[in-house]
Amino acid sequence: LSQSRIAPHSWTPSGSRISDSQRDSAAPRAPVLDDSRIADLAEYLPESEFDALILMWLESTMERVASVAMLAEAGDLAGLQAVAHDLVGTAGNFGACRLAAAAGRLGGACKSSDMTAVRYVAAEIAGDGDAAVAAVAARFGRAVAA
Amino acid sequence: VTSGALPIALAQASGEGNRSKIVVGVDDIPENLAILKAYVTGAGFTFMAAASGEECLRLTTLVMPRLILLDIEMSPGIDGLETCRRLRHRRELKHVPIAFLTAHKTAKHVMDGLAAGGNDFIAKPFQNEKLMERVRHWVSRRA
Repeated sequence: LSQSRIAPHSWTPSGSRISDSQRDSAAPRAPVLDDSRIADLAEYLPESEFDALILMWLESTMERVASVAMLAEAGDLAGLQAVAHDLVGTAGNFGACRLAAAAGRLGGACKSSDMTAVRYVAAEIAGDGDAAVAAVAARFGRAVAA
Repeated sequence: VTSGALPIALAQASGEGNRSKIVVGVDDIPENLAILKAYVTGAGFTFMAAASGEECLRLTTLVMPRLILLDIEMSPGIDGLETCRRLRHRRELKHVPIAFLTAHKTAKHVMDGLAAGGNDFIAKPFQNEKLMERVRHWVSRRA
């Protein structure tokens, strides 16, 4: 996992201010991982398929989180909105609640073309994505360890 | 699409039209399809996956599904709304229930989805019990 990503609480976009509403929206934070979602899924899949699915999710989530950072840097709102939409579903499906919530906020910020909020939430997603991937890998990633 | 599936096998699985137990899932994200497959097959249905609207249109020329679970926002290619419109233009599929899958259930999505010929909306992320409640509802409906 990337060690260079900046934690959202220490990040402020240059030349802009973070509004109270942005800070408040992040205040009551969702848990990084609700592992009941994946545990439930494990009941329905053979072990090998489950392991493959976890690996697929880990890889695609890291890719999506990385693309959020790149698209935010480029100011590509349409691209960000598409990735945010994907993340809401995929992170939520695997119980990565905090990442899914941040992705939802990113989608909203893109919709209102609020670049300050977009950059702020994009930075949050970098941290939340790393945390979600680490939590899922630690809890369910037998295949990662193998 | 379930690659390698033979038309004969598909026809057998299709089981004479509206008695089929086939649920077609359409989503451009493989993880979402894998989850749908796990829950739908776990409930005793046959699941067939399509990774795009175009694949769904092709697959439904080979099988007669009992229900289609259709993601709205897919790329590249046609989105779920357009896929739904094209499915509804085919006489044999006019009465097959179509449930949209969406992470953003807005009033506009609902209006557009109903206008396109959809019957239902299922929210992402999937809640297993809610998802299967809707699947059972539509599958048990008489054609």
